[in-house]
Amino acid sequence: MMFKIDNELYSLITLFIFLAVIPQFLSIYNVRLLSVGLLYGLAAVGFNLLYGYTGLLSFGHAMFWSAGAYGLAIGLVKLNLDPLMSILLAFTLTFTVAIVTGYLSLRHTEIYFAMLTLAFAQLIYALIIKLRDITGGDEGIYGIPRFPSDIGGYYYLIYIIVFILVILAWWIVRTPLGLGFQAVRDNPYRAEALGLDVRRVRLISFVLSGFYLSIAGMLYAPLNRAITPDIAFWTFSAIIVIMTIIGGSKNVLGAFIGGLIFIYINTQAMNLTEFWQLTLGIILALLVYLAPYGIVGIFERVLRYVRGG
Amino acid sequence: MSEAVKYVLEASELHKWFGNVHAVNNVSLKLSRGEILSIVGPNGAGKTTLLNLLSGIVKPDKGRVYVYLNGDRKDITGRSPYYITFLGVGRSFQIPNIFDGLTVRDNIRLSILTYRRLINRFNRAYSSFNDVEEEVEKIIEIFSLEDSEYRYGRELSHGERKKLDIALSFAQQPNILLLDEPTSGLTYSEKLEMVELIRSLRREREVSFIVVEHDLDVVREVSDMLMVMHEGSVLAYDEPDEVVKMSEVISAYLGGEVI
Repeated sequence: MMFKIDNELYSLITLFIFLAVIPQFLSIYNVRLLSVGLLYGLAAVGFNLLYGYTGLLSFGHAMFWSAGAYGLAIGLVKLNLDPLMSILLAFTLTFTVAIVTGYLSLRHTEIYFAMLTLAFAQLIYALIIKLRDITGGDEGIYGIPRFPSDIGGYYYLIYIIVFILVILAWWIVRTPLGLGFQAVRDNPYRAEALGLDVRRVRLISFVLSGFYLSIAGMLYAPLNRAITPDIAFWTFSAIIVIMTIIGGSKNVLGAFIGGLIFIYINTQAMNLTEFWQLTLGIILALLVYLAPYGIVGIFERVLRYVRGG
Repeated sequence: MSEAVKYVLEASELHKWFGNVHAVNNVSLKLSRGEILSIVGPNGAGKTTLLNLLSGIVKPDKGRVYVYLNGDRKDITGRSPYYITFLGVGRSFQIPNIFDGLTVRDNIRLSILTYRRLINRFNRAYSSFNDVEEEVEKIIEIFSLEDSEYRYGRELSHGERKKLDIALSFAQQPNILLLDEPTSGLTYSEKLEMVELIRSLRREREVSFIVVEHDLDVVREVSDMLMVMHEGSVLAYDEPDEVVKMSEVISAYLGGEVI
Protein backbone atom coordinates (compact mmCIF):
# COMPACT_ATOMS: atom_id res chain seq x y z
CA MET A 1 0.00 0.00 0.00
CA MET A 2 1.29 3.43 -0.85
CA PHE A 3 0.21 5.09 2.38
CA LYS A 4 -1.79 4.44 5.50
CA ILE A 5 -4.62 6.76 6.48
CA ASP A 6 -4.00 7.73 10.07
CA ASN A 7 -5.71 9.82 12.74
CA GLU A 8 -3.74 12.91 11.85
CA LEU A 9 -4.92 12.79 8.24
CA TYR A 10 -8.53 12.21 9.35
CA SER A 11 -8.30 15.23 11.64
CA LEU A 12 -6.76 17.39 8.93
CA ILE A 13 -9.40 16.45 6.36
CA THR A 14 -12.23 17.00 8.85
CA LEU A 15 -10.75 20.40 9.65
CA PHE A 16 -10.50 21.28 5.97
CA ILE A 17 -14.10 20.23 5.29
CA PHE A 18 -15.10 22.58 8.10
CA LEU A 19 -12.91 25.33 6.60
CA ALA A 20 -14.59 24.86 3.21
CA VAL A 21 -18.09 25.36 4.60
CA ILE A 22 -17.63 27.93 7.35
CA PRO A 23 -17.04 31.06 5.18
CA GLN A 24 -20.67 30.79 3.98
CA PHE A 25 -21.74 31.78 7.47
CA LEU A 26 -19.18 34.48 8.14
CA SER A 27 -19.02 38.21 7.51
CA ILE A 28 -16.50 39.57 5.00
CA TYR A 29 -14.39 40.77 7.91
CA ASN A 30 -14.26 37.30 9.39
CA VAL A 31 -13.60 35.57 6.06
CA ARG A 32 -10.65 37.91 5.68
CA LEU A 33 -9.45 37.04 9.18
CA LEU A 34 -9.84 33.35 8.42
CA SER A 35 -7.83 33.83 5.20
CA VAL A 36 -4.97 35.20 7.26
CA GLY A 37 -5.51 32.28 9.62
CA LEU A 38 -5.05 29.82 6.74
CA LEU A 39 -1.85 31.58 5.68
CA TYR A 40 -0.50 31.58 9.24
CA GLY A 41 -1.39 27.91 9.41
CA LEU A 42 0.54 27.28 6.21
CA ALA A 43 3.48 29.28 7.56
CA ALA A 44 3.49 27.34 10.83
CA VAL A 45 3.36 24.00 9.00
CA GLY A 46 6.32 25.07 6.84
CA PHE A 47 8.25 26.40 9.79
CA ASN A 48 7.56 23.19 11.69
CA LEU A 49 9.13 21.02 8.99
CA LEU A 50 12.38 22.69 10.02
CA TYR A 51 11.67 23.17 13.73
CA GLY A 52 9.59 20.21 14.89
CA TYR A 53 10.83 17.67 12.37
CA THR A 54 14.44 18.61 11.67
CA GLY A 55 15.19 20.13 15.08
CA LEU A 56 16.38 23.54 13.92
CA LEU A 57 14.95 26.69 15.47
CA SER A 58 15.03 29.48 12.92
CA PHE A 59 14.44 32.94 14.24
CA GLY A 60 14.38 34.55 10.82
CA HIS A 61 11.56 32.93 8.88
CA ALA A 62 9.95 36.32 8.27
CA MET A 63 12.56 36.70 5.52
CA PHE A 64 10.90 33.97 3.46
CA TRP A 65 7.39 35.31 3.96
CA SER A 66 8.64 38.73 2.83
CA ALA A 67 10.70 37.28 -0.04
CA GLY A 68 7.47 35.82 -1.39
CA ALA A 69 5.32 38.87 -0.68
CA TYR A 70 7.84 41.43 -1.92
CA GLY A 71 8.91 39.33 -4.90
CA LEU A 72 5.32 39.10 -6.10
CA ALA A 73 4.46 42.73 -5.32
CA ILE A 74 7.58 44.09 -7.00
CA GLY A 75 6.82 41.99 -10.07
CA LEU A 76 3.16 42.98 -10.29
CA VAL A 77 3.33 46.64 -9.25
CA LYS A 78 6.84 47.96 -9.80
CA LEU A 79 7.89 45.98 -12.87
CA ASN A 80 4.42 45.50 -14.39
CA LEU A 81 5.09 41.85 -15.07
CA ASP A 82 2.28 39.40 -15.67
CA PRO A 83 1.24 37.22 -12.69
CA LEU A 84 3.15 34.15 -13.84
CA MET A 85 6.42 36.06 -14.25
CA SER A 86 5.85 37.75 -10.89
CA ILE A 87 5.40 34.38 -9.19
CA LEU A 88 8.55 33.17 -10.91
CA LEU A 89 10.39 36.26 -9.66
CA ALA A 90 9.17 35.62 -6.10
CA PHE A 91 10.28 31.98 -6.28
CA THR A 92 13.70 32.93 -7.63
CA LEU A 93 14.13 35.47 -4.86
CA THR A 94 13.06 32.93 -2.22
CA PHE A 95 15.35 30.26 -3.60
CA THR A 96 18.33 32.63 -3.63
CA VAL A 97 17.67 33.81 -0.08
CA ALA A 98 17.13 30.24 1.13
CA ILE A 99 20.25 28.80 -0.48
CA VAL A 100 22.57 31.63 0.57
CA THR A 101 21.31 32.03 4.15
CA GLY A 102 20.90 28.27 4.51
CA TYR A 103 24.41 27.54 3.34
CA LEU A 104 25.87 30.14 5.69
CA SER A 105 23.76 29.53 8.79
CA LEU A 106 23.59 25.73 8.68
CA ARG A 107 27.24 25.50 9.62
CA HIS A 108 25.87 25.92 13.12
CA THR A 109 22.96 24.53 15.13
CA GLU A 110 20.88 25.43 18.17
CA ILE A 111 21.20 28.99 19.48
CA TYR A 112 23.96 29.91 17.00
CA PHE A 113 21.75 28.88 14.11
CA ALA A 114 18.83 30.85 15.60
CA MET A 115 20.99 33.96 15.97
CA LEU A 116 22.41 33.67 12.45
CA THR A 117 18.98 33.33 10.87
CA LEU A 118 17.84 36.32 12.94
CA ALA A 119 20.82 38.32 11.69
CA PHE A 120 20.16 37.43 8.03
CA ALA A 121 16.48 38.27 8.39
CA GLN A 122 17.33 41.66 9.86
CA LEU A 123 19.75 42.20 7.00
CA ILE A 124 16.90 41.60 4.57
CA TYR A 125 14.71 43.96 6.58
CA ALA A 126 17.39 46.65 6.32
CA LEU A 127 17.65 46.06 2.56
CA ILE A 128 13.89 46.49 2.17
CA ILE A 129 14.02 49.79 4.07
CA LYS A 130 17.02 51.05 2.10
CA LEU A 131 16.13 49.96 -1.43
CA ARG A 132 13.32 52.51 -1.53
CA ASP A 133 13.06 52.61 -5.34
CA ILE A 134 12.29 48.93 -5.60
CA THR A 135 10.56 48.16 -2.31
CA GLY A 136 8.94 51.47 -1.41
CA GLY A 137 11.07 51.70 1.73
CA ASP A 138 9.13 52.01 4.97
CA GLU A 139 5.96 52.94 3.07
CA GLY A 140 5.81 49.58 1.38
CA ILE A 141 3.99 48.72 -1.84
CA TYR A 142 0.32 49.57 -2.45
CA GLY A 143 -2.28 48.64 -5.02
CA ILE A 144 -1.36 44.97 -5.42
CA PRO A 145 -3.99 43.42 -7.69
CA ARG A 146 -6.01 40.49 -6.41
CA PHE A 147 -7.57 37.69 -8.38
CA PRO A 148 -10.36 36.78 -7.80
CA SER A 149 -10.89 40.30 -6.57
CA ASP A 150 -13.61 39.56 -3.99
CA ILE A 151 -12.48 38.25 -0.59
CA GLY A 152 -14.93 35.35 -0.71
CA GLY A 153 -13.45 34.08 -3.97
CA TYR A 154 -9.86 34.74 -2.96
CA TYR A 155 -10.43 32.77 0.24
CA TYR A 156 -10.99 29.64 -1.84
CA LEU A 157 -7.84 30.19 -3.87
CA ILE A 158 -5.91 30.37 -0.60
CA TYR A 159 -7.86 27.40 0.72
CA ILE A 160 -6.95 25.13 -2.21
CA ILE A 161 -3.25 25.96 -2.15
CA VAL A 162 -3.03 25.67 1.65
CA PHE A 163 -4.91 22.37 1.57
CA ILE A 164 -2.53 20.90 -1.01
CA LEU A 165 0.59 22.09 0.80
CA VAL A 166 -0.54 20.98 4.26
CA ILE A 167 -1.38 17.51 2.97
CA LEU A 168 1.97 17.52 1.15
CA ALA A 169 3.72 18.26 4.46
CA TRP A 170 1.77 15.44 6.11
CA TRP A 171 3.00 13.23 3.27
CA ILE A 172 6.63 14.35 3.28
CA VAL A 173 7.18 13.48 6.94
CA ARG A 174 6.04 9.96 6.13
CA THR A 175 8.52 9.43 3.30
CA PRO A 176 12.17 8.42 3.66
CA LEU A 177 13.14 12.08 3.30
CA GLY A 178 10.95 13.01 6.28
CA LEU A 179 12.31 10.10 8.30
CA GLY A 180 15.76 11.54 7.56
CA PHE A 181 14.62 14.93 8.92
CA GLN A 182 13.55 13.30 12.18
CA ALA A 183 16.75 11.29 12.49
CA VAL A 184 18.78 14.48 12.10
CA ARG A 185 16.60 16.12 14.75
CA ASP A 186 17.06 13.29 17.25
CA ASN A 187 20.73 12.51 16.79
CA PRO A 188 22.71 14.17 14.00
CA TYR A 189 25.96 12.43 14.97
CA ARG A 190 24.47 8.98 14.75
CA ALA A 191 22.70 9.91 11.53
CA GLU A 192 26.03 10.96 10.05
CA ALA A 193 27.69 7.77 11.26
CA LEU A 194 24.97 5.73 9.52
CA GLY A 195 25.79 7.48 6.28
CA LEU A 196 23.20 10.25 6.18
CA ASP A 197 24.44 13.51 4.69
CA VAL A 198 23.29 15.66 7.61
CA ARG A 199 24.14 19.03 6.10
CA ARG A 200 22.30 18.18 2.93
CA VAL A 201 19.23 17.00 4.82
CA ARG A 202 19.23 20.21 6.85
CA LEU A 203 19.56 22.35 3.75
CA ILE A 204 16.69 20.53 2.00
CA SER A 205 14.49 21.04 5.06
CA PHE A 206 15.50 24.70 5.32
CA VAL A 207 14.76 25.47 1.67
CA LEU A 208 11.51 23.48 1.69
CA SER A 209 10.41 25.26 4.84
CA GLY A 210 11.34 28.60 3.27
CA PHE A 211 9.16 27.87 0.24
CA TYR A 212 6.14 27.22 2.46
CA LEU A 213 6.60 30.62 4.08
CA SER A 214 7.21 32.24 0.72
CA ILE A 215 4.01 30.87 -0.78
CA ALA A 216 2.10 32.06 2.29
CA GLY A 217 3.64 35.51 1.79
CA MET A 218 2.81 35.44 -1.93
CA LEU A 219 -0.84 34.78 -1.12
CA TYR A 220 -0.81 37.37 1.67
CA ALA A 221 0.27 40.34 -0.49
CA PRO A 222 -2.82 40.36 -2.77
CA LEU A 223 -5.10 39.55 0.17
CA ASN A 224 -3.96 42.69 1.91
CA ARG A 225 -3.56 44.65 -1.36
CA ALA A 226 -0.56 46.28 0.31
CA ILE A 227 2.60 45.23 2.12
CA THR A 228 4.82 47.10 4.55
CA PRO A 229 8.29 46.17 5.87
CA ASP A 230 6.94 45.01 9.23
CA ILE A 231 6.38 41.59 7.63
CA ALA A 232 10.18 41.36 7.42
CA PHE A 233 10.86 42.58 10.95
CA TRP A 234 12.12 40.13 13.59
CA THR A 235 8.90 40.32 15.61
CA PHE A 236 7.11 38.54 12.78
CA SER A 237 9.72 35.77 12.90
CA ALA A 238 8.94 35.49 16.62
CA ILE A 239 5.21 35.24 15.88
CA ILE A 240 5.86 32.33 13.51
CA VAL A 241 7.76 30.53 16.29
CA ILE A 242 5.07 31.32 18.90
CA MET A 243 2.10 30.14 16.87
CA THR A 244 3.83 26.85 16.10
CA ILE A 245 4.54 26.24 19.77
CA ILE A 246 0.97 27.21 20.75
CA GLY A 247 -0.49 24.65 18.36
CA GLY A 248 2.08 21.97 18.99
CA SER A 249 5.28 21.21 17.12
CA LYS A 250 4.92 17.44 17.35
CA ASN A 251 3.06 17.08 14.08
CA VAL A 252 1.65 18.87 11.04
CA LEU A 253 -1.84 19.13 12.54
CA GLY A 254 -0.59 20.89 15.66
CA ALA A 255 1.36 23.52 13.79
CA PHE A 256 -1.54 24.16 11.41
CA ILE A 257 -4.04 24.65 14.24
CA GLY A 258 -1.57 26.95 16.01
CA GLY A 259 -1.32 29.20 12.98
CA LEU A 260 -5.04 29.04 12.30
CA ILE A 261 -6.11 30.17 15.76
CA PHE A 262 -3.24 32.54 16.40
CA ILE A 263 -4.87 35.36 14.49
CA TYR A 264 -7.97 34.98 16.71
CA ILE A 265 -6.01 34.88 19.96
CA ASN A 266 -4.15 37.94 18.78
CA THR A 267 -7.29 39.88 17.77
CA GLN A 268 -9.14 38.92 20.95
CA ALA A 269 -6.18 39.91 23.08
CA MET A 270 -6.03 43.23 21.26
CA ASN A 271 -9.75 43.82 21.85
CA LEU A 272 -9.52 42.98 25.53
CA THR A 273 -6.59 45.10 26.47
CA GLU A 274 -4.03 47.39 24.99
CA PHE A 275 -1.40 45.23 26.66
CA TRP A 276 -2.14 42.47 24.19
CA GLN A 277 1.47 41.41 24.00
CA LEU A 278 1.34 40.74 27.72
CA THR A 279 -1.73 38.53 27.30
CA LEU A 280 -0.01 36.68 24.52
CA GLY A 281 3.08 36.27 26.65
CA ILE A 282 1.05 34.79 29.51
CA ILE A 283 -0.74 32.34 27.19
CA LEU A 284 2.58 31.24 25.75
CA ALA A 285 4.24 30.84 29.15
CA LEU A 286 1.28 28.79 30.44
CA LEU A 287 1.37 26.56 27.39
CA VAL A 288 5.07 25.93 27.65
CA TYR A 289 4.73 25.00 31.33
CA LEU A 290 1.48 23.07 31.24
CA ALA A 291 1.30 21.70 27.71
CA PRO A 292 4.69 21.33 26.09
CA TYR A 293 3.05 19.67 23.09
CA GLY A 294 0.68 22.58 22.53
CA ILE A 295 -3.05 22.59 22.06
CA VAL A 296 -3.04 19.40 20.03
CA GLY A 297 -1.07 17.78 22.84
CA ILE A 298 -3.84 18.68 25.28
CA PHE A 299 -6.47 17.15 22.97
CA GLU A 300 -4.46 13.97 22.65
CA ARG A 301 -4.15 13.70 26.41
CA VAL A 302 -7.88 14.23 26.88
CA LEU A 303 -8.64 11.63 24.20
CA ARG A 304 -6.35 9.11 25.82
CA TYR A 305 -8.00 9.81 29.18
CA VAL A 306 -11.50 9.35 27.72
CA ARG A 307 -10.50 6.09 26.07
CA GLY A 308 -9.06 5.02 29.39
CA GLY A 309 -5.48 4.65 28.14
CA MET B 1 44.18 -18.03 1.20
CA SER B 2 45.67 -14.90 -0.28
CA GLU B 3 46.24 -11.84 1.90
CA ALA B 4 43.55 -9.83 0.21
CA VAL B 5 40.89 -12.46 0.74
CA LYS B 6 41.90 -13.27 4.28
CA TYR B 7 42.03 -9.77 5.70
CA VAL B 8 39.30 -7.16 5.99
CA LEU B 9 40.92 -4.30 7.89
CA GLU B 10 44.41 -3.13 8.59
CA ALA B 11 45.91 -0.33 10.64
CA SER B 12 49.56 0.50 10.47
CA GLU B 13 51.52 2.53 13.00
CA LEU B 14 48.67 4.79 14.10
CA HIS B 15 49.47 7.79 16.29
CA LYS B 16 47.15 10.34 17.83
CA TRP B 17 48.00 13.16 20.20
CA PHE B 18 45.50 15.23 22.14
CA GLY B 19 47.67 18.15 23.26
CA ASN B 20 50.50 16.49 25.21
CA VAL B 21 48.67 13.24 25.65
CA HIS B 22 49.81 10.50 23.33
CA ALA B 23 46.37 8.88 23.18
CA VAL B 24 47.28 6.27 20.58
CA ASN B 25 50.95 5.36 20.28
CA ASN B 26 52.11 3.30 17.32
CA VAL B 27 49.23 0.84 17.09
CA SER B 28 49.12 -1.65 14.22
CA LEU B 29 46.63 -4.43 13.69
CA LYS B 30 45.25 -6.79 11.06
CA LEU B 31 41.76 -8.17 11.19
CA SER B 32 40.83 -11.38 9.33
CA ARG B 33 37.46 -12.24 7.87
CA GLY B 34 35.13 -13.48 10.61
CA GLU B 35 37.64 -12.75 13.35
CA ILE B 36 36.68 -11.30 16.71
CA LEU B 37 39.43 -9.07 18.04
CA SER B 38 38.94 -7.69 21.51
CA ILE B 39 40.76 -4.70 22.88
CA VAL B 40 40.96 -4.41 26.64
CA GLY B 41 42.64 -1.90 28.91
CA PRO B 42 41.94 0.50 31.74
CA ASN B 43 40.17 3.82 31.31
CA GLY B 44 42.17 6.24 29.23
CA ALA B 45 44.16 3.49 27.52
CA GLY B 46 43.18 4.82 24.10
CA LYS B 47 40.71 2.07 23.17
CA THR B 48 37.87 4.34 22.13
CA THR B 49 40.26 6.71 20.35
CA LEU B 50 41.57 3.75 18.36
CA LEU B 51 38.00 2.88 17.29
CA ASN B 52 37.44 6.53 16.36
CA LEU B 53 40.58 6.45 14.21
CA LEU B 54 39.44 3.29 12.45
CA SER B 55 35.92 4.60 11.79
CA GLY B 56 37.08 8.02 10.62
CA ILE B 57 35.49 10.04 13.42
CA VAL B 58 38.98 11.19 14.47
CA LYS B 59 41.82 11.63 11.97
CA PRO B 60 45.16 10.02 12.88
CA ASP B 61 48.24 12.29 13.18
CA LYS B 62 50.39 9.51 11.74
CA GLY B 63 49.80 6.07 10.25
CA ARG B 64 47.34 4.60 7.76
CA VAL B 65 44.09 2.67 7.85
CA TYR B 66 43.10 0.26 5.08
CA VAL B 67 40.05 -1.82 4.27
CA TYR B 68 40.08 -4.76 1.88
CA LEU B 69 37.37 -4.61 -0.74
CA ASN B 70 36.93 -7.29 -3.40
CA GLY B 71 40.55 -8.23 -3.05
CA ASP B 72 41.92 -4.69 -3.19
CA ARG B 73 43.54 -2.88 -0.31
CA LYS B 74 41.98 0.55 -0.07
CA ASP B 75 43.49 3.41 1.92
CA ILE B 76 40.76 5.09 3.98
CA THR B 77 42.97 7.27 6.18
CA GLY B 78 41.39 10.64 6.79
CA ARG B 79 38.17 9.80 4.94
CA SER B 80 34.82 10.83 6.40
CA PRO B 81 32.80 8.48 8.66
CA TYR B 82 30.08 8.72 6.04
CA TYR B 83 32.37 7.30 3.34
CA ILE B 84 33.83 4.62 5.60
CA THR B 85 30.36 3.46 6.58
CA PHE B 86 29.52 2.83 2.95
CA LEU B 87 32.67 0.70 2.62
CA GLY B 88 31.21 -1.71 5.15
CA VAL B 89 32.64 -0.54 8.45
CA GLY B 90 29.90 -0.09 11.06
CA ARG B 91 30.25 0.88 14.67
CA SER B 92 28.36 1.13 17.91
CA PHE B 93 28.96 3.56 20.71
CA GLN B 94 29.80 3.34 24.39
CA ILE B 95 26.78 5.43 25.31
CA PRO B 96 23.98 3.96 23.21
CA ASN B 97 23.47 6.20 20.26
CA ILE B 98 19.98 5.79 18.85
CA PHE B 99 17.07 7.96 17.69
CA ASP B 100 14.92 8.71 20.74
CA GLY B 101 11.99 10.21 18.86
CA LEU B 102 11.58 7.26 16.50
CA THR B 103 10.17 3.82 17.23
CA VAL B 104 12.52 0.82 17.23
CA ARG B 105 11.11 -0.13 13.84
CA ASP B 106 11.69 3.34 12.40
CA ASN B 107 15.21 3.40 13.83
CA ILE B 108 16.04 0.23 11.89
CA ARG B 109 14.15 1.39 8.79
CA LEU B 110 16.18 4.57 8.77
CA SER B 111 19.42 2.63 8.90
CA ILE B 112 18.43 0.35 6.01
CA LEU B 113 16.94 3.13 3.87
CA THR B 114 20.14 5.15 4.30
CA TYR B 115 22.30 2.18 3.43
CA ARG B 116 20.27 1.44 0.32
CA ARG B 117 20.40 5.09 -0.69
CA LEU B 118 16.63 5.42 -0.62
CA ILE B 119 16.69 8.07 2.09
CA ASN B 120 16.16 11.05 -0.22
CA ARG B 121 13.04 9.59 -1.81
CA PHE B 122 9.75 11.36 -1.18
CA ASN B 123 7.44 9.65 -3.63
CA ARG B 124 6.63 6.73 -1.34
CA ALA B 125 5.92 6.23 2.36
CA TYR B 126 9.02 5.08 4.19
CA SER B 127 7.16 1.99 5.37
CA SER B 128 6.19 0.89 1.86
CA PHE B 129 9.43 -0.67 0.61
CA ASN B 130 8.77 -4.42 0.78
CA ASP B 131 12.36 -5.61 0.70
CA VAL B 132 13.29 -3.06 3.37
CA GLU B 133 10.41 -4.26 5.56
CA GLU B 134 11.56 -7.88 5.19
CA GLU B 135 15.04 -6.87 6.26
CA VAL B 136 13.60 -4.94 9.25
CA GLU B 137 11.75 -8.08 10.35
CA LYS B 138 14.94 -10.10 10.13
CA ILE B 139 16.95 -7.60 12.19
CA ILE B 140 14.22 -7.39 14.85
CA GLU B 141 14.25 -11.18 15.09
CA ILE B 142 18.05 -11.52 15.25
CA PHE B 143 18.25 -8.92 18.02
CA SER B 144 15.12 -10.22 19.83
CA LEU B 145 13.50 -6.77 19.78
CA GLU B 146 10.00 -8.11 19.01
CA ASP B 147 8.54 -6.88 22.29
CA SER B 148 9.67 -3.33 21.80
CA GLU B 149 9.41 -2.74 18.06
CA TYR B 150 6.66 -0.10 18.37
CA ARG B 151 8.16 1.67 21.38
CA TYR B 152 10.07 4.91 21.03
CA GLY B 153 13.81 5.00 21.53
CA ARG B 154 13.43 7.11 24.67
CA GLU B 155 11.22 4.43 26.26
CA LEU B 156 13.77 1.62 26.02
CA SER B 157 15.81 0.11 28.85
CA HIS B 158 19.59 0.45 28.81
CA GLY B 159 20.05 -3.09 27.57
CA GLU B 160 17.55 -2.61 24.76
CA ARG B 161 19.24 0.65 23.76
CA LYS B 162 22.58 -1.17 23.56
CA LYS B 163 21.07 -3.85 21.34
CA LEU B 164 19.33 -1.33 19.10
CA ASP B 165 22.56 0.64 18.76
CA ILE B 166 24.35 -2.45 17.43
CA ALA B 167 21.30 -3.38 15.33
CA LEU B 168 21.46 -0.01 13.57
CA SER B 169 25.01 -0.73 12.46
CA PHE B 170 24.35 -4.39 11.69
CA ALA B 171 21.38 -3.47 9.50
CA GLN B 172 23.80 -1.85 7.05
CA GLN B 173 25.36 -5.24 6.26
CA PRO B 174 28.84 -4.33 7.40
CA ASN B 175 31.86 -6.56 6.84
CA ILE B 176 33.34 -5.16 10.00
CA LEU B 177 31.64 -4.03 13.21
CA LEU B 178 33.47 -1.89 15.72
CA LEU B 179 31.74 -2.21 19.10
CA ASP B 180 32.59 0.16 21.94
CA GLU B 181 31.97 -1.54 25.30
CA PRO B 182 28.86 -3.45 24.20
CA THR B 183 28.34 -4.92 27.67
CA SER B 184 28.95 -1.88 29.87
CA GLY B 185 26.11 -1.21 32.27
CA LEU B 186 24.43 -4.54 31.51
CA THR B 187 23.45 -7.12 34.09
CA TYR B 188 25.31 -10.42 34.14
CA SER B 189 22.63 -12.26 32.19
CA GLU B 190 22.38 -9.44 29.67
CA LYS B 191 26.16 -9.65 29.23
CA LEU B 192 25.91 -13.35 28.40
CA GLU B 193 23.11 -12.57 25.97
CA MET B 194 25.26 -9.92 24.29
CA VAL B 195 28.20 -12.31 23.90
CA GLU B 196 25.85 -14.87 22.40
CA LEU B 197 24.50 -12.18 20.08
CA ILE B 198 27.98 -11.27 18.83
CA ARG B 199 28.66 -14.94 18.13
CA SER B 200 25.40 -15.34 16.24
CA LEU B 201 26.05 -12.22 14.16
CA ARG B 202 29.36 -13.67 13.08
CA ARG B 203 27.70 -16.98 12.21
CA GLU B 204 24.89 -15.23 10.37
CA ARG B 205 26.91 -13.04 8.02
CA GLU B 206 30.62 -13.69 8.61
CA VAL B 207 31.09 -10.28 10.12
CA SER B 208 34.46 -9.43 11.66
CA PHE B 209 34.47 -7.64 14.97
CA ILE B 210 36.66 -5.33 16.96
CA VAL B 211 35.21 -5.23 20.45
CA VAL B 212 36.48 -2.70 22.95
CA GLU B 213 35.90 -3.97 26.47
CA HIS B 214 36.61 -3.16 30.03
CA ASP B 215 35.79 -6.58 31.28
CA LEU B 216 38.35 -9.24 30.36
CA ASP B 217 36.09 -12.10 31.50
CA VAL B 218 33.47 -11.14 28.96
CA VAL B 219 35.77 -11.18 25.96
CA ARG B 220 38.21 -13.94 26.81
CA GLU B 221 35.85 -16.62 25.68
CA VAL B 222 34.45 -15.00 22.59
CA SER B 223 37.67 -13.55 21.12
CA ASP B 224 39.98 -15.02 18.51
CA MET B 225 42.59 -12.39 19.22
CA LEU B 226 43.14 -10.12 22.19
CA MET B 227 44.91 -6.79 22.38
CA VAL B 228 45.82 -5.13 25.65
CA MET B 229 46.34 -1.38 25.60
CA HIS B 230 47.82 0.84 28.26
CA GLU B 231 48.41 4.57 28.00
CA GLY B 232 48.04 4.52 24.25
CA SER B 233 50.45 1.65 23.57
CA VAL B 234 49.92 -2.01 22.81
CA LEU B 235 51.13 -4.19 25.67
CA ALA B 236 50.09 -7.46 24.11
CA TYR B 237 48.43 -8.63 20.90
CA ASP B 238 47.97 -12.39 20.62
CA GLU B 239 45.57 -15.26 21.14
CA PRO B 240 43.67 -14.83 24.41
CA ASP B 241 45.34 -17.68 26.28
CA GLU B 242 48.81 -16.44 25.36
CA VAL B 243 47.98 -12.91 26.44
CA VAL B 244 46.73 -13.96 29.84
CA LYS B 245 49.96 -15.81 30.45
CA MET B 246 52.08 -12.76 29.90
CA SER B 247 53.35 -11.40 33.16
CA GLU B 248 53.77 -7.88 31.85
CA VAL B 249 50.09 -7.72 31.17
CA ILE B 250 49.17 -9.24 34.46
CA SER B 251 51.04 -6.56 36.34
CA ALA B 252 49.85 -3.64 34.26
CA TYR B 253 46.27 -4.60 33.78
CA LEU B 254 45.02 -7.67 35.53
CA GLY B 255 47.02 -6.97 38.67
CA GLY B 256 45.90 -3.37 38.56
CA GLU B 257 42.24 -2.89 38.69
CA VAL B 258 40.53 -6.04 37.55
CA ILE B 259 41.70 -8.68 40.02
